[in-house]
Amino acid sequence: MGKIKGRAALVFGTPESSLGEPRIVLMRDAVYIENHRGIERYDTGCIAVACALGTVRISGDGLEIARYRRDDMAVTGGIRSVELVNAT
Amino acid sequence: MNFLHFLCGYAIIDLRGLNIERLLRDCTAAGVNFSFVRKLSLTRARAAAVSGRVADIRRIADAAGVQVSVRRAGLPGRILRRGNAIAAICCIAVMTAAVVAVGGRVLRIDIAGTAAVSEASVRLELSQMGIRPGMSKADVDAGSAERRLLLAYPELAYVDVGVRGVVLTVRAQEGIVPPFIPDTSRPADIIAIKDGCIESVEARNGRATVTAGTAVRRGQTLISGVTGTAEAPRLVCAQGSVFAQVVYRDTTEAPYAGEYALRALRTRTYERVLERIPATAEVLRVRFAQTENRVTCVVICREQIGAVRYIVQTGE
Repeated sequence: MGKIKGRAALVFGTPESSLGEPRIVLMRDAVYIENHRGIERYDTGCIAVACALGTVRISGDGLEIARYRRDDMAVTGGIRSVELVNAT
Repeated sequence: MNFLHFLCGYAIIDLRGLNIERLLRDCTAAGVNFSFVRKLSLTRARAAAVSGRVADIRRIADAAGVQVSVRRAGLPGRILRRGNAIAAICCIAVMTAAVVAVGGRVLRIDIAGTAAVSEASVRLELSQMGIRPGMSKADVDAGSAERRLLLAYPELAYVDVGVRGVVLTVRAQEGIVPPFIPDTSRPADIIAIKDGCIESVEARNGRATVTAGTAVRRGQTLISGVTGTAEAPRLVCAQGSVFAQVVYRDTTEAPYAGEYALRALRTRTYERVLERIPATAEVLRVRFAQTENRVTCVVICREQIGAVRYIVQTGE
């Protein structure tokens, strides 16, 4: 698997480590996450999203999932913090 | 949800249960996308999804132990809702009737290919026939309109009247008017058709009554068809060419004075004069005279001013 990822990274010119790993874009009142593995926990004050590196925990007020797809999701609301926990 | 979703319809899904996160996870794994997921309480959430995937959501929700209630939204949902159904049907019926009513009428008249005949006069002629915007397409008698236009305008050789959509189109083609050939077997004079100053006279038949430099008035005989002596006159068909300098003049007045106004006025006046000058005339001089808000344009042309007038003999 590692070889395949390495070849793919070589072909597409992307860093090897970025394949399959989450990409998180933080904006003023939204967080965009790519390559997630699903919601672990959701309430209006905290959303935990499973990723390859661990769990991304988004804290804030009135959090809402504006878009939820297999590969990406967008969380909107008053975002206070975004942290990566259980990192391996 | 975007506008396309609104048009196609979407579903607002209320979720009740403890495993809402699992349901969302399983649904996205099955390819069901959600929008605007909002947690209302610990065991309750609301989300929007495409209407076509509601059956999949229900199936997954049963497996996850989550209760699902669905409400249709978007345009189809609104129309299908009982309260709006009658209004929607009425609206569609009224729109259909409006389209049918408007589509059966002539809303515009286009006229093409009439350089010799003004559009306004063609429109006036058509309105006298009853053809005007707003009339029913069924009442347009294209053949009759074509015949009447051809009779009204002899300079037109071909007229086509047709209705396409809500536009009635009149296409006309001007005919080539043959040159006037005088009947040389009948005695005739050549007379002046315009005022002017004679430049040259060439009488091929008949007797020239004017010479170069003579000022002539309209209707004055230029080449007489009466030859011979006073005792024994002989009538012939006068033939020849008479060229004269003809003055065209026009004055235009502007409601206000100013440099730009006068410049525009000069152009407009010159164009108005040019409209009266025949294509065969040769422009010799152009002069302008202007006051504060008035421009006079004088154009001197060299042109043939002779025309045949048959001599009516007593007892003929």
